[in-house]
Amino acid sequence: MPTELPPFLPFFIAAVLAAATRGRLRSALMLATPLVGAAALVGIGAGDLLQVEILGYTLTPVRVDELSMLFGWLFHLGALIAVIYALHTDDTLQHVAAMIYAGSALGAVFAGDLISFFLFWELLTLSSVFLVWARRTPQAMAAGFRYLVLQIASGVTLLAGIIVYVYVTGRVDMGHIGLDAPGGWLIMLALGLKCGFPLLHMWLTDAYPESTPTGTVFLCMFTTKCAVYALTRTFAGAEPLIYIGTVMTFFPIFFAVIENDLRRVLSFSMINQLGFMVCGVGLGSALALNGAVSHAFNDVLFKGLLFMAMGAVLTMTGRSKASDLGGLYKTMPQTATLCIIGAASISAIPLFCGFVSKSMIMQAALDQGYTVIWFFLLFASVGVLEHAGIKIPFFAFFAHDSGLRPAEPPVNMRLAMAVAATLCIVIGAFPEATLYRLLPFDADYHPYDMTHVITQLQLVMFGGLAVFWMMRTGRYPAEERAINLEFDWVYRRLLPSALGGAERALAPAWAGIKRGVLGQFSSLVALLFRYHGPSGALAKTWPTGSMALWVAVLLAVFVMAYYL
Amino acid sequence: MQTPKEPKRYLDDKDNVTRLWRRFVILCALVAAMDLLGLLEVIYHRHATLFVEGLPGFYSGWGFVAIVALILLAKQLRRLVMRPENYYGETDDAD
Repeated sequence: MPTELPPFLPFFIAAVLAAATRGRLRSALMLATPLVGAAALVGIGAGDLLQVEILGYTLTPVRVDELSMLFGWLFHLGALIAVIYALHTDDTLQHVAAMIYAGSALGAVFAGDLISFFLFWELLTLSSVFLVWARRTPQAMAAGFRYLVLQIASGVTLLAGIIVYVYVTGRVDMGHIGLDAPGGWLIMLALGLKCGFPLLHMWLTDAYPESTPTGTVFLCMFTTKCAVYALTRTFAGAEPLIYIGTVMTFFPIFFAVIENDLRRVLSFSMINQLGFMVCGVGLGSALALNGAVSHAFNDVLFKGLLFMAMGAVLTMTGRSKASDLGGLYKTMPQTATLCIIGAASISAIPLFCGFVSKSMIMQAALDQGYTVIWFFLLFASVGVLEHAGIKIPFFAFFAHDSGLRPAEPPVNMRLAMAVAATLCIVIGAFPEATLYRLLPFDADYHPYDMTHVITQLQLVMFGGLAVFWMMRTGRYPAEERAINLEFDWVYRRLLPSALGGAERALAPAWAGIKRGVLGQFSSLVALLFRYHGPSGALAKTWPTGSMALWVAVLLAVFVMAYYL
Repeated sequence: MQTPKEPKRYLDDKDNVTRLWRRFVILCALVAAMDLLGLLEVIYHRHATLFVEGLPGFYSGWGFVAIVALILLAKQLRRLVMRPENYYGETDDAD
């Protein structure tokens, strides 16, 4: 058993093998990768696994502690589920990109210094964009480019922040940085972009729904969770994160209500869930940080499950829009059931996993006296129920009958969903025997007491009551075949049209300048030509002899130069 | 668009849906009533960090009002941001 294997290595090897193999052999290799990786993780001990000295800096590409181990387990688990889900696809590009992507995520969470972290951070960007492009539609190509630009912006900002930080402090280790540190804000913004901070989040809602059914499952598991990990490690307790996180929980729920593409609804939902995590990181107490990382853990499972269910619907029907779907429970009862388990988990219904993680953050907000924040978070929690808990399963599988009668998805897709759904329930029902054992910070928390269970049931049931009451009375906004403008309108419409407008406005002036300058120039040429041209007055004085003389002079100079 | 052979499902019947809805409303009322038990210290002790949190019906009311407010506000948001699907000139693949 190789016990000291860098966790990213099996995945990078698998990427090479996935490119070289096909069919069942590749499937077996892909399945084996997260299992081998996890087996190696069992034997790994805390501490620095690998150290290199480069340019006077000690780099630690692999450092193991409880926080990185939690994400290490999570990413192996996520990769296993996503690999199973994608087994039926025969797209080498996706398999290779997914392996590099999962490996980079593992590299990032085990990186012991900022420079290694940066390299894996960039690799995350470069590998993930291929999962968007793999859909091979014009929209996916365009969204992929927009995604790439913003992700690279995150990388460049991170690099700038790291350079300032390392230059001033002389430290390269991946530890607490804080906003007061030199370059601190730059690093936080870079991490925040990948974490979906408001106004930096558009890549997520733009590109994730455009990826392939299987690609989105990988995408939803790694990038943002890496960012949560990095924020936890470097900016725990930074107060602005509380407010940023609260805004993140809050604004997407409104967009999610009116969004038609169900995979885009889930993308908004993701920002909302990330908001809870960011808030937890900002609160910074042991309880809040445990809440943030365990919610990241659970989000991979339930958001992955929901994306898988919608991916299954997309695979089988070619559609993902609420206005096109409905009534699918008749022929996809298994997928519908699994989707409802994911929906119950994200809605934090007792006995499902969301219940045991989100409540830690809520309780920490109360304990630390952030009462107003708590009210906002409580509002956003109910919002989750509306869009992810009810809208997703209801409009896809129930609502009005679309007439579509798709079969259940391939067995590997159902198996992957079943694994995620089982984990959602096991973690939800037995948190202390499972997830809580992995928690890196020391805090005592018991989610199951009568008051908590009953109040949470009241919250979600009355939320559900309100949704169905509004639907039955016609107050609920109908699904419309439409898109909703978001902040990306600024660079998709406003800036291009402003530039276009500027071009149109400046075009006459430019034409005038060109006409003027060129006119002057050509009249100068014409003037010279008139006097010096073959028939010009001054050309008559050219003796042929003077030409021969000048050639002789040139030759003489050349010979002299050569001799010297 | 249903095929003639397809069996009629439980949920296809509007009366059944109404029946389910009524049961759900009753269930909600029962869950809300649990607050009274907590208040009277029967079965369990209801603890609260904030004063309002301890008021009977707070969580039930919050859940209901929050959703209504959310949906009404979202409908207003739609007026502001909703555009035709080909707004950005990228064709749609679902059709």
